[in-house]
Amino acid sequence: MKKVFAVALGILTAIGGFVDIGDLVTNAQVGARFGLSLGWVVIVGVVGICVFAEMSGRVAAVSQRATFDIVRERLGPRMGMANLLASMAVTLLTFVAEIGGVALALQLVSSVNYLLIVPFVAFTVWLILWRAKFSVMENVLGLFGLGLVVFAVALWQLGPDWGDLTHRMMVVDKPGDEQWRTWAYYAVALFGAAMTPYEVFFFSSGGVEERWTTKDLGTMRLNVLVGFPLGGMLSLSIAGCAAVVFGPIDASVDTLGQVGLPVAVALGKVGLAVALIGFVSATMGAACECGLSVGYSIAQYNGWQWGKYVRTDVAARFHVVLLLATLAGAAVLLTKVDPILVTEFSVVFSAVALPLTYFPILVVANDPDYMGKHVNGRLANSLGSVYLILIGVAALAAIPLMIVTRMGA
Amino acid sequence: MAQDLADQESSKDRLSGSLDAVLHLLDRQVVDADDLMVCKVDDLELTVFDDGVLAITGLLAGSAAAVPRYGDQGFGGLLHDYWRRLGRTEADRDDPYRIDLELVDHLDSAVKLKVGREGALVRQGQRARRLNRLLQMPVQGLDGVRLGRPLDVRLERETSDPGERIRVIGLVVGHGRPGSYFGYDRRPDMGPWLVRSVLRWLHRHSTYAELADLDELDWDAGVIRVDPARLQPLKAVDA
Repeated sequence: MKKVFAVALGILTAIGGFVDIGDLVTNAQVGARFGLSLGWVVIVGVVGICVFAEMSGRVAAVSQRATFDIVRERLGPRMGMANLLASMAVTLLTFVAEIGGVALALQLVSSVNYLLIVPFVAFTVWLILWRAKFSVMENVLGLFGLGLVVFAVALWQLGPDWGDLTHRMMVVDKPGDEQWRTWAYYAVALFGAAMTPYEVFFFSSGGVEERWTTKDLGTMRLNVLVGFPLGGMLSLSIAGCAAVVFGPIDASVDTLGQVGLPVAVALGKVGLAVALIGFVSATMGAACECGLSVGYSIAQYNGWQWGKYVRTDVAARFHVVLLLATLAGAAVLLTKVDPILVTEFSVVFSAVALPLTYFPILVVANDPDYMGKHVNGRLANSLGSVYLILIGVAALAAIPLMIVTRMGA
Repeated sequence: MAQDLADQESSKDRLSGSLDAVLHLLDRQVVDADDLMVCKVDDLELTVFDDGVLAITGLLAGSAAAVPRYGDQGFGGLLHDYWRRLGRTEADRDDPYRIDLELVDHLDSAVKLKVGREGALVRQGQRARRLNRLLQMPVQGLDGVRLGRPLDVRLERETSDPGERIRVIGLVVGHGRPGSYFGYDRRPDMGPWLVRSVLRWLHRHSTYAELADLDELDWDAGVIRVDPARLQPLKAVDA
């Protein structure tokens, strides 16, 4: 019974934890402009994050080594450092976006300017990172993040033409008023939003935090293979809601309030309240994960003690990094930079930084020295190779597309 | 965690048999007797013994060991100079931390020590040969033609007298960077097919040189000379 509970809890938190500010904003923007014609990218991205997270989770469970340990060990200090700089730039950008997301969601509730809320959000995030137990942090925020399920309910209430919606997902097409290069740019952005590097840093380091062993492989797989796709369904409902409400009137989504508007249209105040709880928890959870990922990666690269499974004074350097990262995140937001714009940047650069992390994990997941008999099977390797190419193409295409489309304008 | 680890086959000790210095030791996490993290293996100390044996005798850590590894001799040297400039007053600026190989319990996905981490890192205190220096040396034919550089250094634990030393037995020679074969030379059956094929094609000219077959290993001039006829094809050690 306890086992069933653990599995259920893991899946639920994976659903709530999958959606973050990047998914919220990008899916709503894409839904409003392209309908569900880019829905297939979400599916490709979800399968990708399943492949990647399953491999890195398995490596963590079998060898007790988290992602950046492996990166440094296989790529050496030079490429490892290049990867660290790129990944940390993206993760800090995402961290800024998540803190900003929490503040914007609280602004919707309180009408207090988000700039005044940012310091409080940052302080709360730091307090959670410093004091809260790992499992409490993950479970509480993950469960409240499930509030985002209202988007699925709202989509059902809005009663779209389901046949038309799903048909658009199956064919490669775009609305007539959009260019193919804009379409490609948003495809890369959606892919980056689904496969954010911090998710994998956090997932594998979390496995070490929770002291997974080979006995936990089944639970880990269920979390990934059920939780992430269900999280992907939430992403699609957000896009679907935006498509139904904003598509016909040609409106674009530029604020967090507009992301939640379809829920208000379909379900009224109560629905919107639940959506806001979902926003705050999901982005707060993601903010904690991002902050921790910065600490995890820098400590793992340098060989320092890290993690919340030891007392804070044992992992002193790790906690100094967490504090500095949170301060930096808040400081960036207080420059009045638009958090939504930061989000757009972060998802595109996610796609750029991904290959350097993905490649060493793919190699080590095949190495019997690390994995014993738990090396990649045929399916993991076929999918792993396909995604190695996909991730490479997305990484190469991201910046040129960003420039020629002027960020999808 | 320790007892759960015991039933995993991946936890066998790599140091007891054949291993590669870059692939298996360099940049590994060092973990103490209580499973707390100590440092990374930033470099390895090599000692030339009186009987001519070249062996690994210690793990080196800290910036003094890591900084020179950030580039080849040109850029790495420059970086090293700048880094020294930031602390000219410190007498031990260039002296890396060292962990004696005697203190190492075993090697699996991490280097496990026999002792606790407090005070585990002490300054090396003496100039000794470093693995990184060996990896930077060009490998030349007898006529001075460049054949490549060491991509990895093959090690083996001695089984007979005086025993227990982890000695260098040969070099993987080729083009590219040390460690860039990612272990596909030792295990030609390792997946995935795509990565294996590309890496094995990139390293199709890589070869193996027994240490005994080297004509010269000149630490002062920083050059390795070998008769190209004595180079051997790479063997699948772990297959």
